[in-house]
Amino acid sequence: MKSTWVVAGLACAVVGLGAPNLSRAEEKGNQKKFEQWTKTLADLEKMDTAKIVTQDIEMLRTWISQGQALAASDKGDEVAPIEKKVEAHAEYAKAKIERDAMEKKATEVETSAKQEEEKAKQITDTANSMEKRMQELEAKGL
Amino acid sequence: MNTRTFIRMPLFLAVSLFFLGCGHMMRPPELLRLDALAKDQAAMTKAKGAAPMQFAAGQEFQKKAEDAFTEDEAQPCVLYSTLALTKYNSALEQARSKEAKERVTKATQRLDTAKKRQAEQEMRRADYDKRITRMEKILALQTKLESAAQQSAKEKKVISDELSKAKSEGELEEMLSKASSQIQAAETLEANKTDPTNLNSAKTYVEQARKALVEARYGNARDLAKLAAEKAALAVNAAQSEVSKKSQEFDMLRERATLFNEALGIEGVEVKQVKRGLVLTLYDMFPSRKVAVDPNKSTLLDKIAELAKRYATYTILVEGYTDSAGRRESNLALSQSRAQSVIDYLIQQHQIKLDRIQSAGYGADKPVSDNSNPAGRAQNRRIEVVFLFR
Repeated sequence: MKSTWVVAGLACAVVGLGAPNLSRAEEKGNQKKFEQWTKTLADLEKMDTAKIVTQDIEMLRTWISQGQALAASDKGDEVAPIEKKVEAHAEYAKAKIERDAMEKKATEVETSAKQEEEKAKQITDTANSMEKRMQELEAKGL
Repeated sequence: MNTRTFIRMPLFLAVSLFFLGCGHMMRPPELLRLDALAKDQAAMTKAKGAAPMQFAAGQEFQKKAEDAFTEDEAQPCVLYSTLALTKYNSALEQARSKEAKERVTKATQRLDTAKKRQAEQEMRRADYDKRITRMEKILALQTKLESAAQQSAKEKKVISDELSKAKSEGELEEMLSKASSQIQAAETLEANKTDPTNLNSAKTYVEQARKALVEARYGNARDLAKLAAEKAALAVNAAQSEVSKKSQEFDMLRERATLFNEALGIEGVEVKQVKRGLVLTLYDMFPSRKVAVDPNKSTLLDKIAELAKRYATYTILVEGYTDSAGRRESNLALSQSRAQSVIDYLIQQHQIKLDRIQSAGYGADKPVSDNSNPAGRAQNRRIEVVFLFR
């Protein structure tokens, strides 16, 4: 009976010793996530030269702060939803930036295309008028 | 069941349902927004096509949200709704991005096409430009050539005019110079005496011609110069005629003088010059009452024949004379026969041409001396060989 209590005590000790180790691992993992998110935020800010996802970044920053606060208050299990939201929204913000950049590029290229088409038209018109002039000269026996 | 009960039952059921409803949570705004987005089939189709994985994730979160809502799990419902919305929006952003990319592709193609067209048209334009430049250059050169030809024609005309003018002036100067020379010659030849009218006319015409020349009235000047030359020539001719005439007279006189002197050199011949000619008188050329020339006297005729040959232009008249002894008719006949005898001698002995020699017999009609004495009669019996003056 005594030995039973000893085993049980050891088991508790093991569990008791192991619990703080797991917490530190989670903390470390969270820290790593926060660092990663911070980096993601920095990347987004850098990408967002047109300032179209400023609000999204602010929202992300808020969520990250919330996550950090939760992690700090030993509510690690509540960080996971924030993590999902941050990851999803960061991806969305990135897509938004890329979309904006692509649309701007499209507009730019379309403008260029229009300009070049106009230029081509002008050159064509010039060439046509020159062709006419040439035909007039040819009609003079030149 | 009474009426009260009949009325109360539905009311009870409605209240029961209300309370039952109040027991189930309200759809959160995130889920409502998700509902609205999910109803937009076009957007969903677009999102699914552009980002199938994102779209699938969105659908999964949407399902979880619905499940959470069904289970009345508010926080998971909001969380999954938010995640679903974010995924769908991400997919939509990617769809829009894809559309933009397609626009870029199309615009790039348009740009490329436009640039290609520009290049083609630029080549076409450059080709036309080159050809037009060449044609215009040819045209310009042709115009220039025509202009030059015209200019040349103008210049040619100017030069031709100048040349013509110069020629005209030269010709006129020459004509006037000739006319002036002729006038001078005429004056030298004293045409003022022989033909003053033409000389003065020539001078007047020369002055008028010079004036016309200065005034560039070349035609008029030429006509006047011609007239001046003609008049001057006439004056010169008149003067020369006069001079020539005088000269001929002088020559003739000199010849006559020479003839006279040569005739004088013939011994036994009496020479005298009268108006009609040079008269060489021969005496005793015939024996008494004879017709034939005394052979002793024939040498005189020989010398006269030589003289006649040297002065071949003179017509020679041989005249016979007698004294008054005898009858007149016989004397005339005798004199004529004797003159003829002399002619015959000259012709036969000296080939004096018949056409320049004549004979006449006057008997005693033209005595040069007194027939009353022998000396006088001897003077009257004579032969006169006359070198007739022209």
